[in-house]
Amino acid sequence: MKERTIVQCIVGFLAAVLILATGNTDLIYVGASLLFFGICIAYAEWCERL
Amino acid sequence: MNAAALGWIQLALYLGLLLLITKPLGLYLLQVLDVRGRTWLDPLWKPAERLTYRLCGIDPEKEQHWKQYTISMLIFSIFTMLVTYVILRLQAFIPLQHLLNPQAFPGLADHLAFDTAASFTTNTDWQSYGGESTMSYFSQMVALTGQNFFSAAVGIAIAAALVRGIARHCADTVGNFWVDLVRIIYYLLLPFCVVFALFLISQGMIQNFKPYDAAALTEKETVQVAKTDASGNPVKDAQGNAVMVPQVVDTQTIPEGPMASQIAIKMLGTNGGGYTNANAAHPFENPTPFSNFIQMLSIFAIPSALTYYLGRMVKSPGHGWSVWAAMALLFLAGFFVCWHYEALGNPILTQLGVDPADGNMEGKEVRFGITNSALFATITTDASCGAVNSMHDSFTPLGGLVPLFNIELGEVVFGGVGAGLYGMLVFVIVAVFIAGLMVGRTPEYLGKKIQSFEVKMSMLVLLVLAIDILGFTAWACVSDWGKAGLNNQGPHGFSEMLYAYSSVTGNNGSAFAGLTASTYWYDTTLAFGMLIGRFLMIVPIMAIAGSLAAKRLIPAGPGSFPVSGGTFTFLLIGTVLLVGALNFLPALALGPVVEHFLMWSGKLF
Repeated sequence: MKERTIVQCIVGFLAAVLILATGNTDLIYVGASLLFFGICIAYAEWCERL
Repeated sequence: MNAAALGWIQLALYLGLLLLITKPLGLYLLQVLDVRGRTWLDPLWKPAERLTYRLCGIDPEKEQHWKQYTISMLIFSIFTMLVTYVILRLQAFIPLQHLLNPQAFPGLADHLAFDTAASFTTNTDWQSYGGESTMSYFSQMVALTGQNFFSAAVGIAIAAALVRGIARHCADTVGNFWVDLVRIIYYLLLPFCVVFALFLISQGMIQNFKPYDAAALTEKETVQVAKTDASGNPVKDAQGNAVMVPQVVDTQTIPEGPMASQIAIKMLGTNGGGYTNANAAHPFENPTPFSNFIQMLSIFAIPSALTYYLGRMVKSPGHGWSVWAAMALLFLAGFFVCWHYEALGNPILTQLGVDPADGNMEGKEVRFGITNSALFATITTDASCGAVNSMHDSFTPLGGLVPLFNIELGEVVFGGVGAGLYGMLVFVIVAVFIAGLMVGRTPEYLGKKIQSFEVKMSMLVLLVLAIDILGFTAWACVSDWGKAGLNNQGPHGFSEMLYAYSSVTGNNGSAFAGLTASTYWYDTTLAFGMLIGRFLMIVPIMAIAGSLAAKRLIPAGPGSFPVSGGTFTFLLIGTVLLVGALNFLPALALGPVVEHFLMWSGKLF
């Protein structure tokens, strides 16, 4: 679980860097939307553990 | 008969009719929100429902754990949000432009498309654009109207899941999101909206695909407009001010389009996003006093019926009615304050010779007057609708405080479809917890112990509300991008910023106007305000649903706190007001309250 989270974070970070490097605002907005919903899913996991 | 008497009659009629439709519509919801429920629309929709399940691979008998339910909702929401974004960006390239985009509107700017997509996905319908001058018919019909249906259905589905969680015991599941979504759209929203749209057309609302008309003005007008260079940029003088040139206006553009089909779900689904920039103040979008009355009634119809659904589901109809009574009393209190201050008028205008008997008519449609404007403003901000038939920015400071505070209470006074009920149930848990503390017993709610998990989740919901509103407002207040958008200074300018972030967090969507929000910073921060205000609240609410569903029932004893009756209703009202006041009174004091005192000492902003 921990390894999977680390790999996901690295992949997410690299994707974000790639998107920002293109400077394409469409990609940035779409990427930010996907990231937000990813955070929501992680938030649900966190809520369950509280 | 004077206007005040007519206002009282209309209020009585409004509340009476609302009360009258609550039970039958609630009973209908019981059938719609049950996969085995039967409705009079079964012969029409059952085959379509079955086909939808088969095509989408949905097993209607298979229920979901709260987390599966939530993730399904999140996946559906992100998918529809991205589709909306793409449509808005590419509206100039959709086929059949002569029919679906006769005004040849270009695609929306990226930040505006993002803001609008987030706005309609979250049932907010905040609009940083004028609908009739920005959106193609295709965008209005498919992207925006589609989202009006989807976001409303999502809200009702979440409320249904929470109510199931309360009603069940020792259960792992809270329903199936996909089944709820399909049934709400097929059996509730679509049929009711067809009938409603036909009614609106009967009142004079338009529904066509014609290009816009142009009408010659009987009285030409000369206006000052900013001079632009060859590339369309404003020309500035040596001091950096825009150079203005006179322009003669001799024609008026009359918008056309598929309006009634969008307005029906806009009101019934408490979406609120106007087809036109003037929203329900536009004569096409709200043609008659009767259409105005029915539109107001439609905003509260489903949220009101959901309280009856709650009572029946938890086998305590009195509980449902107590929640309804708390909502109704909060609504009445807000309306009376707003009505009073709007009827009182503006003392500075009175000094200039305006008859004070007319009240504050600035920014109001003369067709609707003070009472209907105050009533509409209170209803639309109690519910997270956001449609407007008057400009809230032009209300007196304390008249405008009411819509603002309504939103900041968390949109729980009937509230948005579904969102109002699940928001109010969070306050119910807090109220029960407070009552438990007062009598020194473990809090119970309908035979279930309220423990630390439910209280933590409730607090998360309330913290998200406060942090989202106050955090973004504070950021805008101290930022150049925030101040650059202001058209009014002083406490009124602050109120405009506070209203904007309150509106998006509460998923209301109405604006105090006066704020130039169609910029990269505003559009982006407002969009995230909406997403946070919607989804970061839904997740802990669904966690509460799952937790309550898994609990065992405890038989009611002499120490159990009754959740129906007057004591509970007033405790609930007190809890809502106390949380709202503790969170937001300091900010309100800096905005509308200061402005009120300054207005009475002769200063306007």
